[in-house]
Amino acid sequence: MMKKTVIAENLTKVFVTKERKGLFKKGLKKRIVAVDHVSFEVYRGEIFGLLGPNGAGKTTTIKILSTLLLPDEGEAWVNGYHVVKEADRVRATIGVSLYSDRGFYWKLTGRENLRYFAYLHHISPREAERKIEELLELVGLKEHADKLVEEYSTGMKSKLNFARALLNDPETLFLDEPTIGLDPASARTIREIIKRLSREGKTIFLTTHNMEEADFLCDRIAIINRGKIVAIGTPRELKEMVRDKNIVEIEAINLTDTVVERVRRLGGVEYVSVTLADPVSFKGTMRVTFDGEFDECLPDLLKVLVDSNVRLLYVKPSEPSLEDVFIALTGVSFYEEHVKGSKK
Amino acid sequence: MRNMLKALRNNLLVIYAVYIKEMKIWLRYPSWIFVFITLPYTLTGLFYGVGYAIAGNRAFDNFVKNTGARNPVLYYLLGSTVLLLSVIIIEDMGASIRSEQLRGTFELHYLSPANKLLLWSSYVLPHGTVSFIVIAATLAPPLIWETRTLDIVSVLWTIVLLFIGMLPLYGIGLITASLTIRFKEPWAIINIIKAFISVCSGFLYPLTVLPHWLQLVSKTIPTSYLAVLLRDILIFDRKLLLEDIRLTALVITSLLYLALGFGIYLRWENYARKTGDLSKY
Repeated sequence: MMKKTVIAENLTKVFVTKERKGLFKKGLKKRIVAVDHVSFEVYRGEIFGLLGPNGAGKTTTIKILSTLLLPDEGEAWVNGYHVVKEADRVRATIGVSLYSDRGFYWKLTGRENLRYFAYLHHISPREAERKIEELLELVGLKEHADKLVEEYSTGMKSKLNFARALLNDPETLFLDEPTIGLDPASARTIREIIKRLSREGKTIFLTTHNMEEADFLCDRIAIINRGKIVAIGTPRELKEMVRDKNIVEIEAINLTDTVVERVRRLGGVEYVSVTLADPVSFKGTMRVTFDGEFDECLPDLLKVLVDSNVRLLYVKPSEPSLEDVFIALTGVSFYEEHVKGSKK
Repeated sequence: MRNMLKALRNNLLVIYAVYIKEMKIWLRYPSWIFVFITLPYTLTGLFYGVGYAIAGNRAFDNFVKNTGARNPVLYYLLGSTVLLLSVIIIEDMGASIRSEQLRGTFELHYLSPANKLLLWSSYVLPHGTVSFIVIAATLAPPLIWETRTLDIVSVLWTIVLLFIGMLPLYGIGLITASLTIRFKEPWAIINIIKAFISVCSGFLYPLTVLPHWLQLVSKTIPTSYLAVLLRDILIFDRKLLLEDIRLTALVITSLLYLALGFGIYLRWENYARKTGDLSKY
């Protein structure tokens, strides 16, 4: 039987925020349930992804598991240690990467930053030097190791951050949005390293709002929305949940709000989501999920688009994606700022 | 025994890490040396001028009568250097934790198994080193001018006193740090504390010039003992004895202030882990 390295039972975290109202008026206190009775288990060597939009509770969950935050309810164990009662033991056995490009002393070099944090992890100077050399090689920063961090690019800082998380040879690695803000090449390097670490037996717990990344990297995914886990499974299992739907993907120009609204009103259309690549020409990709058959719904859809002066670039039937799963489970679209779609 | 040795090695490694990191950062921003060394001279000139403006030719006699010292330059240089270092440390502790927060490094310390009390108190060592360098560099010219040489025991006592004198300032610094992180804008309180310490420590005058009730208050402030002891060694050329009651008072009050600082800080830390303030910036 596979060993469980992360166990979360009914984790709950509530934040209280104050609204500001003018100079003298006291603002209202607002309770925000960031994580709402979340439970899951992660197994040794697994890449487990927590997938959800911004503000879904991903970072709060990772902070509770890495001992930075105390839960209001529930319990959690990491590598066999209780995250509240045995916080120091948890810290000694985990690696955490919270920010992609923050968290460094800018007036120290990359190597000096790693050395400082290695000593805080009680790694002896000789072992630290060996480990630092190995990690700089792994993330491809050997040439830049002796430059001040203030001279690093975002991608280099992100790689250094990743190397720091591995300093103490952790059993479990927590990565919060590991590729956010990175150029495609740097993101690819990080993903390859994650895969390699998993093959070497490390447990990887990552959060992401990038569905393609979750699909590519994760053995299992928990979809989280508004603090609640709405589904857990392998990417294939999750996509099976929407297997009976017919999905069509359309790339086009002039995908305005009005057009999206007209499509949503069509008979047989269940969900519509649009990701705009260019907000000026309204060029983007529209995904339409039907509960009916293609041959019944598609002609009406194309007619609406043509009548609305939409310039079609391609139309193709599509396999279900994790985005479709998310929409089906939550009734809302994933990318709030770019997607104009919702359950009909 | 083996575990104890391992714990000792781990803790020494943390102290070493903080020391090297801080010293490297300071040495890569060397402009502070210029400020630290010139400001005491500027303040000394200021006090000298004010004294002359008030008392004219009688200023020097009054000074000798009230302080017992014959060299006002050395007296004010020592006082203003220690005053400067004290207010900087009080302010710096809050400010540096704040800048660690803004930089994103603060929270990362909580992801390591290093003992946090040890970690934050380790900052005393680099600060102590810098303080000694500053005092040595500031006082060297007037001492050379007087053709005075300090024996090694006096130098060692100066170093020990400076390090002990740092402890209460760190205690107060930790309180200001807690306030900084809790309220984000605690400068009013910090400035009141700094003013209080400056007035009651007697860095620039003997405490006997204060009203009796304020002299009693000053006895609760460790830096008042620090100022007197440093003057004894560096100005009056007196030998410090271990049984000196002022030394005992300095050690006891210093440890009390440090304990108070840590007590408040640990309470805040627990609160911050509940509310998420650890990572707010």
